Amino acid sequence: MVTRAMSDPELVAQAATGDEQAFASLVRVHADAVYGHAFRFFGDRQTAEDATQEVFAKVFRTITTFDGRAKFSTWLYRVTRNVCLDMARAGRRVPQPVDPVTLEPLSTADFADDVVLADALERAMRVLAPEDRDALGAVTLFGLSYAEASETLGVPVGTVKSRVFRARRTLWLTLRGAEGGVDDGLPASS
Amino acid sequence: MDCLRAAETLSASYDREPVEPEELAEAHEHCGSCAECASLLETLSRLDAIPTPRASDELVALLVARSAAAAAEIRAAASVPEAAGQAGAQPDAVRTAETGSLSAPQSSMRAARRWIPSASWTPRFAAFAAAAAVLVVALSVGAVGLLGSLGGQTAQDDAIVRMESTGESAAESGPTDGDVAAVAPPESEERYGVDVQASPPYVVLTGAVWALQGPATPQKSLLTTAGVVATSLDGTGEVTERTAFLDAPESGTLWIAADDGGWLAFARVVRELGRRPFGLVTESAIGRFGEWPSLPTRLEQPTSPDGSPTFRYYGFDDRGVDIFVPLTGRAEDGFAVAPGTAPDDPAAGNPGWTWWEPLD
Repeated sequence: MVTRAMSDPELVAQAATGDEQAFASLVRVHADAVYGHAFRFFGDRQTAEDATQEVFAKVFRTITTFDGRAKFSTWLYRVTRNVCLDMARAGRRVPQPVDPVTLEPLSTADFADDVVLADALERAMRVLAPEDRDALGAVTLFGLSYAEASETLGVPVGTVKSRVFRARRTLWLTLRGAEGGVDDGLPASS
Repeated sequence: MDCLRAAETLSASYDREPVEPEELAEAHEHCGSCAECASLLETLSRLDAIPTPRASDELVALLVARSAAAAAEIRAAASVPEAAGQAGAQPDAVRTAETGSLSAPQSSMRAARRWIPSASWTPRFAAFAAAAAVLVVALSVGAVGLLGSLGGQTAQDDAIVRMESTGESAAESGPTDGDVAAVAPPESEERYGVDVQASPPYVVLTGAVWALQGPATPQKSLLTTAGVVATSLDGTGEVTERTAFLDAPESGTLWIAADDGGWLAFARVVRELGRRPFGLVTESAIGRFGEWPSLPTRLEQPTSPDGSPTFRYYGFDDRGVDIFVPLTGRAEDGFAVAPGTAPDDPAAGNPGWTWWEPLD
């Protein structure tokens, strides 16, 4: 657990002057969100770690340009998303396939165990359409509101709401089927 | 309340989005009589409670260690312009253009010039030269007029625009002991002694200048219409209006379909100043490759190397490129670069002034 003695705007302001402790605090507070997005984007830990390093390197290079009009987490999400897209586009890393038929079957283990459920959840994330996973990550990993995610993703608020809901519903159906419940089949991603 | 509305309401409530209490109560009530929605509600609750992927302690430690180095760099960069910005003050250290390392100041004359730390050029020269080479290969099949427009040289050759040997610029040499023109901008002969070359392959979209990176294949599902670009996509052909696409809202890549059915990728022409990105801007279309962007018409063309009567000298970046701003303007809002920049500057070889505006 990270103790946050300063708010993000205060940390960013300090970091922009070269305050090492402020930088370190920003890293500790936000590393999980960045790593989580990258892990769900690429599907493997090593690439996610590379992407996380690249994101923070970019943040450090450009933090003096952050003007505070948006929340730092909104800005960080944008940087993270762009770094992942750039890495994929440059062919340096290729996101794991998202076609459900290529997925390793989820276990039918007892999801009463949170660890098992968490593992199944991350694999089920691969089923999600990229735009749905993006929206879900913006809201649940970075804590963006629908309005903030809407601005960052360049889509209407209603679309963000639909994508987040669709992502959750897909996860629910996938996990329920894997647990041995009623198999509705995977829902269409549209 | 139907299942869809109940489920959407419950989902939104887990995101701390404003939901009417009555509506939320109705959704919960619906779950009491609908097994499917009750199951969804239970899953939402479970998923909300389980941990998301965590960065390892080793990764966090590595990031913290690297952030310390970044912090030191920012402190060093921040200290120089503050010192240099004081009238008559001498900077404690000056970053050399060649090495990027910090060294002791070499000339008291230089102290009156304001150094504004930047970062790197984008598109970088090497990448641009490589892209230009690809372009030559791609377009040479049809022998369209690109090569002819470039005076028989390859696009790569022309990307490597040169300064006249008689007028080595401050940008090329960087500040030196003998920089007697430190306070005033360089002499006119030096400034206008630039060897005018054909420009890199540029297009303009709503005033923003983009440089060709080369043929590539976009992810079509991501493409969204960005606007219309008037270009021949070569040096001599007929200028036509073509639809340009972006592959993500902030991807930084513009796509235009070529006549042969392939795609060409373009990147914004960007430079950094004060650690902020600035894009090359013009108002006129650049119909053919090889044409240079001009100053926006609202800015009168300077008649003197010192920028007058339009601009005043502002300072120089860490490559030694002189920066000018409108007489009452601020560099943060936009700045001009005079002709005669370094060979790896996107504006090198430009016979006119170029105008750069903040991207953020």
